Amino acid sequence: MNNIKKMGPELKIGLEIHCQLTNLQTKLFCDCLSNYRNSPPNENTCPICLGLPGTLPLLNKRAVEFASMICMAFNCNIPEEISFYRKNYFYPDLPKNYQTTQYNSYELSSIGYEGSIEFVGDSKSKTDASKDSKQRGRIRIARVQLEEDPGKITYEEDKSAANNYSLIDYNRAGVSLVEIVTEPDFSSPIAVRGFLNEIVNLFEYLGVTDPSLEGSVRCDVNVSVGGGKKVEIKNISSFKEVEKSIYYEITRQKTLIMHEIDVKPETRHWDEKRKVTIAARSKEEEEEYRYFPEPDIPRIILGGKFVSRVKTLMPELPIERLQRYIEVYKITEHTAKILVNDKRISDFFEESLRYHKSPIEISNWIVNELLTKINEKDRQGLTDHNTRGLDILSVSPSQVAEIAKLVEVKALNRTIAREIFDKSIETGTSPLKIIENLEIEKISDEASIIKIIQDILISQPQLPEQSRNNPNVINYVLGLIMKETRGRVNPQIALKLIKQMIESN
Amino acid sequence: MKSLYELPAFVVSRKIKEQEITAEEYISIIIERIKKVDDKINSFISHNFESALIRSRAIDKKIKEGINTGLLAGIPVGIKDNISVKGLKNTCASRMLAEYVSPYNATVVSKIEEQGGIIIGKLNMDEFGMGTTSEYSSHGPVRNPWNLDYVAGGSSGGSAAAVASSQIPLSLGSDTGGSIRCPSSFCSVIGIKPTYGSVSRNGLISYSNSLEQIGPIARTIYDLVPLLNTISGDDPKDNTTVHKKYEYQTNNVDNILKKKYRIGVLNELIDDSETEVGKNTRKKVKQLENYGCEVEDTRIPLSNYALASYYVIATAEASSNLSRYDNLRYGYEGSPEGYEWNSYFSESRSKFGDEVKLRILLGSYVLSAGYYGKYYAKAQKIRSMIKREFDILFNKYDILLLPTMPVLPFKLGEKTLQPIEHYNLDVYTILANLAGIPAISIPGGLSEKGFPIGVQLIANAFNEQKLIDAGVLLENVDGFETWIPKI
Amino acid sequence: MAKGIDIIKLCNMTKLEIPEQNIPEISRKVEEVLLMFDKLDEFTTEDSTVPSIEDLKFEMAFENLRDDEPRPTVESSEGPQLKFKLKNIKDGFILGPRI
Ligand SMILES: [Zn+2]
Repeated sequence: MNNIKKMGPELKIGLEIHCQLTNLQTKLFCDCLSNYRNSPPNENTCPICLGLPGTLPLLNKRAVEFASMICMAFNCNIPEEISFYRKNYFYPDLPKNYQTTQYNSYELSSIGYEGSIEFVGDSKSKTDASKDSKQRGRIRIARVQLEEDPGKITYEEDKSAANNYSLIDYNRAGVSLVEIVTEPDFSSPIAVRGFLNEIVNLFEYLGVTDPSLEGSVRCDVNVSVGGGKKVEIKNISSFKEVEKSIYYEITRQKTLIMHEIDVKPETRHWDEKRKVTIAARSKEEEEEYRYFPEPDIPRIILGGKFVSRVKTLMPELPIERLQRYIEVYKITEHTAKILVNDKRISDFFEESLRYHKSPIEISNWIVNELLTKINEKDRQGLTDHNTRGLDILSVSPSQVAEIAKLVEVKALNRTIAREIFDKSIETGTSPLKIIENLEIEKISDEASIIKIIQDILISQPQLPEQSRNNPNVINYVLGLIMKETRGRVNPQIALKLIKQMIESN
Repeated sequence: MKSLYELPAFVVSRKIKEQEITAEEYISIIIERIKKVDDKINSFISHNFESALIRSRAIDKKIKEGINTGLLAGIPVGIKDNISVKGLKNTCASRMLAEYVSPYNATVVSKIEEQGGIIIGKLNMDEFGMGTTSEYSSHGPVRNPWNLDYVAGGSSGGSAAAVASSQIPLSLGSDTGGSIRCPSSFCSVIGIKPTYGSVSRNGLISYSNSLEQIGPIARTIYDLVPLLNTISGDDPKDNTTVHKKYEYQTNNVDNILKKKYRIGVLNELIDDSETEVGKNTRKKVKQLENYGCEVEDTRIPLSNYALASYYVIATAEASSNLSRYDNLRYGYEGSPEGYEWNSYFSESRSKFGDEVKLRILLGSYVLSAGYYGKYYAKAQKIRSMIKREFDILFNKYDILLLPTMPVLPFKLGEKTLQPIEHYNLDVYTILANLAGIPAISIPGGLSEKGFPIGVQLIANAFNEQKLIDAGVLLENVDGFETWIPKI
Repeated sequence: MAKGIDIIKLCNMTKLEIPEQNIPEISRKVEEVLLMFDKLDEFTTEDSTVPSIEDLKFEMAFENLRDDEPRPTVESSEGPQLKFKLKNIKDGFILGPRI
């Protein structure tokens, strides 16, 4: 939060987020696979997406549906009719040398407009609980539009100057993209990072994309400092880099202002290796996109009932789920947020509840034990950014449910339960199985157990007296025994002996 | 006795089905005719003779086995070189596409083959359909069968000339601003531009998508109708098509007369034409009046804005449509190795002809920043106004009558220097494209020096039947199917 | 406004190479046609019911759009899918110019 103050209130950041609709079967305008990632180069193509002469675009119905689900999640208006425009520019990755997209300057053509989204804030850091409420804000959405992805250009040699030619693969060309354009409502790079994490999660809830696929969610940024001209940054490969590029751009613009040099409105590219932004093209060049209505796609009539129909397709959104966890499950807001902020973890939680319906206990196990473990792994660098923590631990929802149940019925005290749970998630063995195996080496001879109980009663002589009014004392003693023996005592035998000894005392 | 190549297709097809002759015999005769005549006319860009013969044998076999062979059994159809035929070169008469072979069939081509039609070759045209004379072709100009020093009209010049010179009975052209009707008029054949959306454009290489349609060309209305029936109808591969409600008929004269057609005559446009064209057009009015049609003079007030509106829209769409030709994925010989991309694109695209370049420049200019409202939006507005004027006229009239072309055919090279003079040739034909309504050019007679004059009829959207009916009337009074150039 | 258009800029934008000696002629032609386009400026109307651009645009109901189904791998009735031969292939990639 210091950052915001340091930079002054006039820092304005806006985003253009591109989300591939990877969960579609086919591309936006042809029946090639949406999943281009497993095909040899140029195999996932057809006359339409190669832009062969005479081919016409055939709009994917489900792409319109997915895009409108995104619109709804961003509380956008959805018009009754939408249409498409051509954005004309030459580039070797564009099979037709124009991109079919939507454009609102001449008419309202895009699938969504004028939305806003409550931005919950990052709860993953437990160190600063106070920042939640401060960061919570509303981000306005200018528009949401549906468009096609271009192909990919690569080189054989790393340094582009060393290459005499490029290599083009059009497998990605024509894959559905949804572009979400925000108003410049962010005032810090950290807020941007938090927001991006949240909306990636949102896309996952919506079931429109798999964010773990490389390049499925991308982001361009525009930054203006002190009410100055807007500079766009493109070519940013990951969200971490988004944050860095904004920091760089702020410094660059501030330096210019300090030296009384005008900040030019332009597009700059993020050079990931050198960590700087580089001028790419001026605004003037950009305005020559020669937009005009795509004559080959009719105006699409969504109709009055469309919105209510899409509503029925909408899955539970994170914000709704959060509400439910707090209100129905009585989970604390803090814990609930941690669960909800990662759909896979939240789904894991829901699945665990099917085995044992004790939301508070289970949520604690997940948040305090499981996630701590995952974070440790993260720090050890055992997970790369694309695979989620849950995958590297061989843990199933039923394991969590079992352990929670054992603790709740007091068959285990927490310390032992934690140890068993640790073993369980490392090995994937169910907690009950682990207990059974432990049984073999357990202290089951009554003499040794009696010895331990005696020691306890000597050091805490008030216990027998207290147990008359408070049945929990027996469990307390069992806990002490378990602690002493690191859980190696057979709990049933121990319990029997504790009762006998306290009563006879 | 007439040779088979002179006969109407519907007559020959009956003979084939009745096994009086074989499709193979017929196709062989057609191939001979093309080989003999087309050196003079230059209507074909490429031939498909071998496959055509194979197909003809397959049709003969089907007929022998009593299997249904369709509306066009054994009939050769020539295809304009901007309509995709699988496995054939598809050059659009452009050096940009000199080596491009289409991997798929246009929907109209598939439909023709389903009806037993045989694709005989690809026909010459103005490059990408941009021209009114068929002179702007990488394959050289098409010559008018009535006089080889004269233009055949365009851009579907090859389609009209090949039919007029009795090389083939039927062809497909495409009509963006008159490209079927103009050469039909100049060559004395019958050609129709159907209602926008009634024929699939899938596989038609776009010049101006919102204006153009594929349509048939024939020597007689009785051949035109089966081909029109074959190609029309909605297509899941073209989202701008609409469902066809009925099949077109060639009704007999008595039944047509019962319909008491009301004909609006676009008087001013007749007056603005060359004298002989005007005279001939009035003769057509008289003939229809003699049939008992109601005839009345009328006008389209906004027609003087049509040319600017048309060329703004056509060039704008063209500039974008032709962007894809960069010689990376397909095109002609040549490799981008060693080039920086901007210079590769610019050098590759220098293979476009001058007229195409001119239209790309114009179209890009009218779409560029700040000019959209002045040109494109304005042109579209006028376009909708013209459509409205037609709507009003069609409340009063079934058919509008005007010349197809304001002039008689002229000499090769006469009108290629001044773009405006060239574009002005389109003033009567572009109206139907702007409004998306059907229009037909019907042979109307010959000038004193023996040049064809066409008459144009326009009807409301999806009222092709009225145009066909009028075609039947005019063919019956004139017998124009017998006007054949000596070649 | 037809006078004085920047033909070089237009050529760069459209990626068209026009030999230097042809520039004057093509400029003249472009200007001549743009002058004809200026006819549109004469068109004014006070008629408030003048239809907008959208009047002529085709419409399609959402329900009729293409279903999200991959194409069947079995060969169609049209015979085997003709594998399109792309130009200048290297290891499956299309050879491109330097960027
Ligand atoms: Zn495809």
